[in-house]
Amino acid sequence: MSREVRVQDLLGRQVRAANNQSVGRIEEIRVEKHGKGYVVREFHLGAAALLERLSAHVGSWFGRGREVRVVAWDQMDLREPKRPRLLVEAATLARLDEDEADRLRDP
Amino acid sequence: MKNAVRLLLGVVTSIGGFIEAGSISTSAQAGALYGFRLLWAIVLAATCVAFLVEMAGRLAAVSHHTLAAAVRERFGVTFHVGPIVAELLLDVLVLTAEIGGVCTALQLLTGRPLRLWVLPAAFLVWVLLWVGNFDAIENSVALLGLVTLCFVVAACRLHPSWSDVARGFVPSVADHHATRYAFLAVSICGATISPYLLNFYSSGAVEEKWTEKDCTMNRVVAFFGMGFGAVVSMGVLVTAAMVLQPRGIAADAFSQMALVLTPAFGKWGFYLFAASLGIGCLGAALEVALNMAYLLGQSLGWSWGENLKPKDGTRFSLVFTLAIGLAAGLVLLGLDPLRLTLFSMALTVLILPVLVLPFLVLMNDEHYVGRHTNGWLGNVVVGLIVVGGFLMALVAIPLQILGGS
Amino acid sequence: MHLVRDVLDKQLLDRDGRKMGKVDGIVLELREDGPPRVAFIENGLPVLLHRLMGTAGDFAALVERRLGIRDGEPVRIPMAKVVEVGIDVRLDLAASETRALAWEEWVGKHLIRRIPGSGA
Repeated sequence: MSREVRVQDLLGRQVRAANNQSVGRIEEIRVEKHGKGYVVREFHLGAAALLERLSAHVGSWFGRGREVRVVAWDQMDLREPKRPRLLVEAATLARLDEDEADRLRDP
Repeated sequence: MKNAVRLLLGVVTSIGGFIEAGSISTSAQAGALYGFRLLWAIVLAATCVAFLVEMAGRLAAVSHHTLAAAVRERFGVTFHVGPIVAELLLDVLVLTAEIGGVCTALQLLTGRPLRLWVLPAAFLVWVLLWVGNFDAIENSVALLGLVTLCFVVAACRLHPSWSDVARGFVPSVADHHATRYAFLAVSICGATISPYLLNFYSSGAVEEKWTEKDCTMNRVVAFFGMGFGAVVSMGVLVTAAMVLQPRGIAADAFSQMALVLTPAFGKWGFYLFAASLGIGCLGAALEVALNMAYLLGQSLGWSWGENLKPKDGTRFSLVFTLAIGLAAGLVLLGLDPLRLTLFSMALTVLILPVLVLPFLVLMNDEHYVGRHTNGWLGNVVVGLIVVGGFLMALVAIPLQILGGS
Repeated sequence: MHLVRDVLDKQLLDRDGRKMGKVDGIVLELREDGPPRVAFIENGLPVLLHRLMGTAGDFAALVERRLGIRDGEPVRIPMAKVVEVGIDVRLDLAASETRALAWEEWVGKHLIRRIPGSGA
């Protein structure tokens, strides 16, 4: 059984870990080609992701030290779109550092 | 020859943008109350708007997208909706003031009351947009708008002390009624750096199918066009300073301002003023009504364009039709065009920082402007306009209450 | 490819380069056995307004139903029809194959064409 969820409903939603700790808001969804279509690869959370989306340049003006939190598709529980939950420990999440984020900005 | 015709976009933009009710009245008031001392404000404002117009044109030439379209695409609808709604509301006020200005000009010319002219004037604006195409409107408004050069001719004929005039280009503090002075300086900026002007210019560039190769020409057109507007505004200010200030006339009404050309041209001066006001306001009304349709159409992804027949841009045509109707209704309700003009200029200054901020991102984004990104100067100017606009906004509201009319 | 940065809110162009609105929404299909699939692009006033204020979106859908404009259902375009994602999103279909221009047609039929000089 497959269900549908709208990207625009996920945007800006606070993601919570199993212990209800806030992890960050969903600001971007990265997809990759899979056959003839696209599938979700990961979700980018946090203020740094928002800055990344709005402007690569403005983001770098605010200096380093702001990291984008990355949640892989299989680490996210979207059964309740209004309350996305992390399926793993927050600490194990990958973080994009600035260099990798820079490389991702212009695909 | 083609490039000469392109200059007309710059000229028509500035005619509609700032040789209209707002600019004529602020420049006249500035001259009447402070002589030549506010000339620097016109130069400053015109320079700022020229930079912004050039950017709007460059964006359109390289990306074939207009300012409004690019802001939604780049920043998303949540960021875009506030500024767009604010700009639309501002446009309604300005459109009302401009239609009122056309009616005032007709009233001055014929002596018949203003309200009589509202429906004919509104109908004229509407029918020109309905039936015309962009080039026809651009060319006719630009050519007719050359009549406004009468202010410049009058200013020269009155033989002002050119050294006094030159001193006016240096920013100074007022010697009396400092709040009024500051308010007028802010109003001049608000009248000149009109938001609708920016999107109109970028829309015009797309309508005329400018490409990346037109970037250099765009720079010339933007600065020449805004320069034209600035020179005419300065002409208004100087004639008001020479004619109204010595007589203690404060230029609180268009009928008072109409006197400025009489010493230079005799009886014809009065008619020339009315013609300039009427044509300037007509140009502005066309520009603002079109801009409202551009804003909505470009934000929502419709087919848009004055070059389209109404049946090919149905929602687009509906918007300018409704806008003109609404504005006409507001004039008939008795809203005073002059008061409305002054109020809308204060409002412009309020929303200007938000509308200009996206330039900092868009003009440095290669997806939109290719290799024609802003140099350091362009970015600095935009930054200064944003900061300056914000400061003016903080100050504009108390000034409006304390020093405005 | 980033959905929000690269796809959402971009201009939609059909096979002939005709404007058919913007990408107002994107629908993901959640699956048991694998990553979520990008299923559809959504377009239409109710979708757009819903992003800003949920009730506004519902109201717009109601108006559309009342006027018989695509029964208040959003326009859905399968991701498979997307040819190119650049400054615009180009589709491999004609606008007339979707209901994306329903409002444009309604305004034309009921309002614009009745006025002389509309080019109809």
